[in-house]
Amino acid sequence: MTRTGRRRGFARCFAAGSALALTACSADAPWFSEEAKERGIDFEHRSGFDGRPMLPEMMGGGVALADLDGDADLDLYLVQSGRVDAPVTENPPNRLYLNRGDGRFDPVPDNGGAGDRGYGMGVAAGDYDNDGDVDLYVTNYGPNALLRNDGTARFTDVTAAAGVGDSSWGTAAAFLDLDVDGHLDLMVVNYLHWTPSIERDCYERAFFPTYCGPTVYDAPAMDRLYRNNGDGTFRDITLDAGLNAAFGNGLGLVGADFDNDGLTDLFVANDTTTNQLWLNRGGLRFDNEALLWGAAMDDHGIAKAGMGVAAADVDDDGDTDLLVVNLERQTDSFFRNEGAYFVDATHLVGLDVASRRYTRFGVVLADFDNDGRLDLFHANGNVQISSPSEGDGYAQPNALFRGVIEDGSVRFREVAPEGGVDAPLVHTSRGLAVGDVNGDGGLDLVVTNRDAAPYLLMNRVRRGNHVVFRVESSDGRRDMHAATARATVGGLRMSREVQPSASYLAASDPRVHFGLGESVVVRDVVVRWPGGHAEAFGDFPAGVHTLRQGEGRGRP
Amino acid sequence: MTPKGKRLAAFSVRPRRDVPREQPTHAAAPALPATKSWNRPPRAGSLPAAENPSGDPNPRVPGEAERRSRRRKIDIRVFVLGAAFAVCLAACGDAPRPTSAVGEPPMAGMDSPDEELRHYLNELTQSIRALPASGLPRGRLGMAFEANGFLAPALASYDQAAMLAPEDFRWPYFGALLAGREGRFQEALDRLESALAIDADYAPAWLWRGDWLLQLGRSEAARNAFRQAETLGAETQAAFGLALVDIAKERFADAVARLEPLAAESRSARIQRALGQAHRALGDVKAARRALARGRAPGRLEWDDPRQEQKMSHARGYASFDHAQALSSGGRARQAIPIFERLRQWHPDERCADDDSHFFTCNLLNSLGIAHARAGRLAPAIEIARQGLALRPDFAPFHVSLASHYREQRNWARALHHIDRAIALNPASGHAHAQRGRLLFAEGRQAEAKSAFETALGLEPEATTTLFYLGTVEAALENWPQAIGHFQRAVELDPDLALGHLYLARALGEDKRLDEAREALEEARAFGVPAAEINATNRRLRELASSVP
Repeated sequence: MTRTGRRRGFARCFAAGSALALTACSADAPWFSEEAKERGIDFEHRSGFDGRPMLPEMMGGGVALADLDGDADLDLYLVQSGRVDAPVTENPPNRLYLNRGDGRFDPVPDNGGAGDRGYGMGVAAGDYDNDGDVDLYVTNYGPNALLRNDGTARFTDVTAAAGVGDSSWGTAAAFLDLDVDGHLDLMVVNYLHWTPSIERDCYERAFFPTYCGPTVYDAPAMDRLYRNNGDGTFRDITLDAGLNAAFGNGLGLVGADFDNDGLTDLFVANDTTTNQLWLNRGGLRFDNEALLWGAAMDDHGIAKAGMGVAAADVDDDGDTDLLVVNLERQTDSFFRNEGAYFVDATHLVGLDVASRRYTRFGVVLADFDNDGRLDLFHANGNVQISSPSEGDGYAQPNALFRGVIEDGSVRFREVAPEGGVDAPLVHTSRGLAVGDVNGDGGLDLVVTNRDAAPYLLMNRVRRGNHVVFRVESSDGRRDMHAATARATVGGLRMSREVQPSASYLAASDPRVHFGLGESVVVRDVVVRWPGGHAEAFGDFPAGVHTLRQGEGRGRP
Repeated sequence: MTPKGKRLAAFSVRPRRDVPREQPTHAAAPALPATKSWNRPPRAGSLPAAENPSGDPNPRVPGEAERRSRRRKIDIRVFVLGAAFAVCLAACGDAPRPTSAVGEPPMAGMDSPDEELRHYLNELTQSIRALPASGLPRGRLGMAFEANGFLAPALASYDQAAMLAPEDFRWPYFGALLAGREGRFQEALDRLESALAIDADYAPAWLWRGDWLLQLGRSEAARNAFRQAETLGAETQAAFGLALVDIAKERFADAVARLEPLAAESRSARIQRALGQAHRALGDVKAARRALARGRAPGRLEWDDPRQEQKMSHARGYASFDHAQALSSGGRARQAIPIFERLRQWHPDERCADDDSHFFTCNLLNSLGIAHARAGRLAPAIEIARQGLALRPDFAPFHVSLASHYREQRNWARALHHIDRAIALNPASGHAHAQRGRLLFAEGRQAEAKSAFETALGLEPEATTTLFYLGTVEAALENWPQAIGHFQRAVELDPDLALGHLYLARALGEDKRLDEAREALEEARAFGVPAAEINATNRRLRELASSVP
């Protein structure tokens, strides 16, 4: 073991306490194996760090898993950064890899025209023009880019024509049909108004130079909401929608129907400023109810360093809960949905101590072992260093938690070995996307790393059965983002959402995935479509199926 | 004009990374006040039940023999903890080589670029070597580690100090607080047991005990701990703790009953948030909304804890800069000034002119000036800011400070000059645009003031002071609906903005919405707007009512 590894082991033992440390040292079989290089991914992220910290260098690393060439497997798109102070033409391009069908990837020589060279941050995926293929929206420090797919994974930059070239520092983005008109609107989260000229020197307590926190610049940036006009163009409706009423240093975004009124709401996680919960009031008007709902800050009134975000019905009670990940020494915030407000139930699900150890960016709630319970994965990497070190002083291991039921309640228990992998993987991780890249029924992960190659974590855990649904529009052309599929598995009613945009800077597999454990069938499948209309589809055996709007058995 | 009754929020920052924006008007979020002194010597034989899992509301008080027995058990527990820690250290390859009964003092921070900190830690380590059997030097080293951000070595030092000075309450207590701060509540409780066995009469320890038990879901035991704190004089804090127990047990009406009197007397954001949560659970959305809006300011669950205060005297270098800034913004500017002055010796002013490493020194100088201004000494404040500008003319905070100081002197022209320079250097600062608006408003340049406030709001849409001023500008221009909108938004964001209610009442009256105006005026009265202002507004409303056909 390296010296760094021993130190981490020490820190972990120390953090866990003596008794827990003994448990933490015992290891299960690894859940994942890292196979990026052998599966054809030769990407290496470049932040441009050259000795003097510049804030954007800490934040990038977007990733998309989406079927970009229409062959029913997940392709890979990786967002490159470059140098903050260089002309964009000198930056390396974003990279596109096509899946051969078995989870092995071929790089596309010219990146299919999707090799945007902005100083890249994140990416959203969705069929904004309803032509049956998945388009991409790339956020940058600088102008963002909308890349239109021709159906064969060939892309054209249509940013200017579409009117979505926001030039702020974009981070998260999502395509969501917020007005239920059949066209995906676009929400873009911005971080702050930063330029190299306002960069400052910041220090740790013991005076080690480090990256500044966002509040140093005192310049939070307004997010943007674009309405899809239905003709390939968008209109900036930020002010009309009321989204100018509050904003912060935005990093995370997820869309879900939190108040169960049929309309998709928006949650924005802000870094050290209060979060926003934009409840959709219809007619593309939104009210920020984060304070009333109890999701603006933690129970101590602290606006934590909100980064990645995940939303899912973790406790199977029919509404969408929320998980926001934060900085080292700050707990995750698990907001349990009580119907009309959230309760900060972080300690009740066992994440109060375990989550503090590292700085978390990417976050995914997914059933990796197909036992019917959502598990949790954190992609970690610090933003501060407390002592000088060789190599990457910000690197941290990732963390995997198994979802379990204890005393009738959901809890997350950390899986050993750390991060669910055999050999320790320690980089400064950022983006995190989830999807079954080799079609074996196990959910795989892609993790991006600052100034390093990404991880492709192939699912190797012993798993239960599964069923996967593609939830699609009535014409079968596109995934119905924010639709919810509900099903009964072994007596338990579960919900899973079509939610490609969440986590941190990432787009994930839009298909919904139910782990079945020993069961071989899901019963009483009902889809709640955006707008609130519910449609019953009956029972399905384990396997992969399609749920097309209008082709069910009517109302449940 | 400054809105009376307005409490400016001290937003949370990450102190390790951040250089907080200095504002002369900042006030710290208040801790719950102490009601009695907690520094009394321990009373023999007065140890109350540490925990009562049975939920017995009258736990038995153990005698001295039982206390001794418990101490032994606790010592064993702490020993086991320490042993596990040592095993862990050894297993992880970083174990120090013990050379005395408790081993070598932990080392940290000696590779820090902070010369003052290195020097201080070295001094403390030398004093340990001079007095290897004494607990105090190790405890001091622990406090120095903690105050300067080295938490794991701090804990190890406290453990060593506790072994050498087993009668000193501080070392297990400080260790408990560190573990609690890290979320290791069970470990914190175990350590706290050791401290309480030494002194069971220190009320803050019982408050922490209640809080940690609550975090672990042991609400009955938490209730007992808060009751014990209550008997030791911490009535207000204990009542709040008991309300949290009520919330945990979903007895929301009881919680409201406990919290409302506290909320009426205290400005603690934490109390307001708890009250809001209880109202919300009872379905009273209006009351919940109001309480939660009042609870926007950050405020951890904390209380006066005099035994902890000594720790920060060990802060050095950057940590002491953080500490001095907190003192300065918390109304203790005079205490901050000597710390800033001490730091100046390690960071000479000339470095502010250095292109590679100017920021800290410039910021130090600026913070010193602000502290002088807060202490009511404008002349040295202006002199220091000017001195800073001579070294570094492009450092925007100097301009912001000078603008503020000149505004205090009602020298609008100079103030405006500096705020314009600050905006030129950082156009994205909402604060600077809002300051510009206030200066223009003071000069009677309403249209320009309006534009400046609108720019500020575009950058900081939830700045209630800016909303209030924009409302007053619109009112001055007789744009009543716009003025009403801004005042309404301001009091929605901060229900305690007393003048916001008053001006809202006036604007509503002028817009002939008299019933709403009277309602707003009642709010203003409830929030303590002086009677003369209320009466004048009432008269105006009557005039307006009589003029309505």
